[in-house]
Amino acid sequence: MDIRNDMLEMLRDYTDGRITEVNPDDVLTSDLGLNSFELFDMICLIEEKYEITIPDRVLPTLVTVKDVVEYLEANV
Amino acid sequence: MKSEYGKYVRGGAPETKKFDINKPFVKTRAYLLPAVWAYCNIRRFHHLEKIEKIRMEGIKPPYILLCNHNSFYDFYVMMCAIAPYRAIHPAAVDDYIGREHLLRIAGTVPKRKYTADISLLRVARQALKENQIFGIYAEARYSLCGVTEVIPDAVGQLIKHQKVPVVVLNCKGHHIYDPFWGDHKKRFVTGLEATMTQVLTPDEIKSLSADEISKKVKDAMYNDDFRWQSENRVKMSYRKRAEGLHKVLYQCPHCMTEYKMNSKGTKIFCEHCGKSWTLNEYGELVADKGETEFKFASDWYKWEREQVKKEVLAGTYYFESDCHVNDLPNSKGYVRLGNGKIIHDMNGFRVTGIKDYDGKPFEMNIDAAGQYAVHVEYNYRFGQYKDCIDLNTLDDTWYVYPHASEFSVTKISLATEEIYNEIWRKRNEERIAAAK
Repeated sequence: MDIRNDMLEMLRDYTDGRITEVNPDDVLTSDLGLNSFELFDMICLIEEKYEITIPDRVLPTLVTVKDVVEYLEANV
Repeated sequence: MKSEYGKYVRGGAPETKKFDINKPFVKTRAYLLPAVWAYCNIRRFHHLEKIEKIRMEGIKPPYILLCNHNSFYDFYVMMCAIAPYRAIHPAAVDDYIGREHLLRIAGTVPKRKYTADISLLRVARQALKENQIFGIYAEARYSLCGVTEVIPDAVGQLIKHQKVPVVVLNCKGHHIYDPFWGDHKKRFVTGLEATMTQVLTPDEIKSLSADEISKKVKDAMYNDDFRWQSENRVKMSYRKRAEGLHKVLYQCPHCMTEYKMNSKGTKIFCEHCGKSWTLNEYGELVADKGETEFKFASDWYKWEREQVKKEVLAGTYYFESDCHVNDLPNSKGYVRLGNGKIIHDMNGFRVTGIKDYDGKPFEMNIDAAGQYAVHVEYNYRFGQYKDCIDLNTLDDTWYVYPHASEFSVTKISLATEEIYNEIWRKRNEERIAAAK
């Protein structure tokens, strides 16, 4: 399971190709331009895809792409 | 609690316990409702404020309620408008100071302004699932000048996702009654108006895109209180009605000088060229001599935005000042962090300094591309009545008080919005060019 590539694919699909390239240190809001709702929607898609629930207290720590990938690698 | 630093501000060691942003919401306690409705209606009848309902027949929760926001008085009218139902709605963390329990049992959830707070969207989903009204003051702050402030696109996306009716409560005259820049003394004015409209049904939401929904909502929420006051000949004769208006209208349209505007009684004037204007009883500005450049403060404010935009496009916008910072960790109040420096430029906000408590450095960086607007305060009551900028991350809320002799937090607010717009305009252009 290559979570890194999965994430890039999900971001690309979700933003209709708006996001084509992703670096691990990209900040989801200021670099990739996701607003709060798009973040919320992405988290919902991730939870569905990997059948997990991300606790509220973890959400503020998911700032960069790497943060999300590392969390998934540790919890999926 | 009061100290040398002001009301609800203390020095000393930092707080370890922070706001519990993720605490589940509480429906407004039923036993509170009779008293809340009684008080809210008294406040409303004081202004003879009618609430007109459009397309609201048979509307029951769950639905999303969007309200424009001019003063705390909005909350009273909102409670009257939604009766007999209750709402869950976010409130800024600083609203909780000294009264967290009361606000929580009144159905509010704390929010750090202008942060991508996903847990709040989970609250929205849960509240709607529990057949509640989820209320949003979508501008996330009081209007600075009585005209609707920027509304994020995320609102349209949330509506598209939740598929529940959308109701807009558009209130007129609340800025005239209690302007954000004013002295917050009782300005007696009657004839205020509130219109509660179901702007979107679930079926209509299905047929529209998120962008179309966003536009429809923004149109329904648009308000310009000074223009409304003039057009409806609503008289407000408070003899100090213009005092504080210079906080918003900081640049003179006659001599173009910034930060030399001042106000007294019914007049706003430029201390550099001497030109003055009178704010009459119908909210109209009239030059005491010569041409009246702007009849309405909202047009003057739009003109100031254009001047800031020119600076942003030319890349010359820059603000730097010594400052002091008060941290707001929880609802007990602020903790004086220390003195430092604030820089605001095309990259965003950068605040650095040395902590009073232990001499260690402190720092906050807010990337311009991630912050579409900023909350500012005039004569902040918990800041010894100074102007300040409220900067938030998901964990911290810092109130930053510039020490410069000449600056305007209104200009900093406008610059934040125009820098964000310019960054994403360029990035989208680059992306489209790259796609070709």
